[in-house]
Amino acid sequence: MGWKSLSVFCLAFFTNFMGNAQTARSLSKDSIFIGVVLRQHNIYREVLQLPSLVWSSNLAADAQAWADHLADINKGQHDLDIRGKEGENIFWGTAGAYSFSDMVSFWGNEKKFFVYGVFPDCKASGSAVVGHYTQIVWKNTRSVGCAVGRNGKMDYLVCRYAAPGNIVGEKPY
Amino acid sequence: MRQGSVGADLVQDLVHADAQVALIIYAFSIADDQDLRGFMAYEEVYLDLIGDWPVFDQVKIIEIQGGGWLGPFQSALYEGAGRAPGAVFEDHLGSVGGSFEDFFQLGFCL
Repeated sequence: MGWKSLSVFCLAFFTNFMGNAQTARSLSKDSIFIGVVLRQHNIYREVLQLPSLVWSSNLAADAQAWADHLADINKGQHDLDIRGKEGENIFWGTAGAYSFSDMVSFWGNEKKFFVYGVFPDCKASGSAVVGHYTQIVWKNTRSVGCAVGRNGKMDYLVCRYAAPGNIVGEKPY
Repeated sequence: MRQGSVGADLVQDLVHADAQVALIIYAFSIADDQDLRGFMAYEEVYLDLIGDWPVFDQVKIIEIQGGGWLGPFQSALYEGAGRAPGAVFEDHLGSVGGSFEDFFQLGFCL
C-alpha cells in the first residue's frame, strides 16, 4: 500500500469514526430526534390536559454530557449533582435494538401501575416502578432536553427535566 | 412475595454473582412465578440490592429477549433447583461460551 492509498484509507477511517461519534452527539440538536422524543413525552401529558413540555437546549446539553459519560463507563446511574435542579430519566439497552420512541414509551408505560396519589406511594404495589412516568406528567415540569450516548454495545438515552418532578409528599398533578 | 428465610442465603449468592446476572435471575423469577415459586425470593433480593438508593433510583428491567436461548437457560434453572440459581445460570452461560449480552437483548430504565 503506497502512501497515497494509506492516506485515503486513514482519511476514510477518520471520517467514518468521527461520523459515528458525531451522529450520537448531534442528535440532541436534530429536529427529528427532538420531535420524536418531545411528542412521545407530550402524549402522556395531553391525555391529562397538562401543558406540553417544551424543548430546552440547555437541558439537552446537560443530558448529552451525562449520556456520553454513561456510554464511557457502560453503566446506568443517576447524576447526583443535579438533585433539586433537574429531574432525570435514563434508558439503556442493546445497541440499535430500540427506537427513541420505544425508549420513552417504556417510561410512559409505567402508567398502568400508577395510582393517583402522593409520590412515591402512587403505585399499585410496593415493587412497582412509576417514577419515570410521574416525572413525565409532573405538573410543574415544563421543559425537557434529551440526548443519546453510544459505545457500540449499549445505547443510553438521558432526559433532563425542569422543574424537577417526583417531589416526595406531593401529587404529580 | 417475601420468603425471608430463603432470601438470606440467596443474597450471598447474588452478591457474589455479577449484578446483571442477578437482574437476569430476577427477570426469570417474574416469568416463572407460577411454576417456580422458589425463585420469587429474588424479587426481594433485587429490592434489597437497591434498598439504600433513593426512591427515584429504582432500576427495572423492561425487556429481555433471548430468542432461542431463553429456553435452554430456563431448563438449566429447573434442572438446578436446589442449587443457587445464580451459580446455575453462570455455569450454563460459561458452558455455551459467552456473556449474557451476547445472547440477550436487554433494556433497562433508571
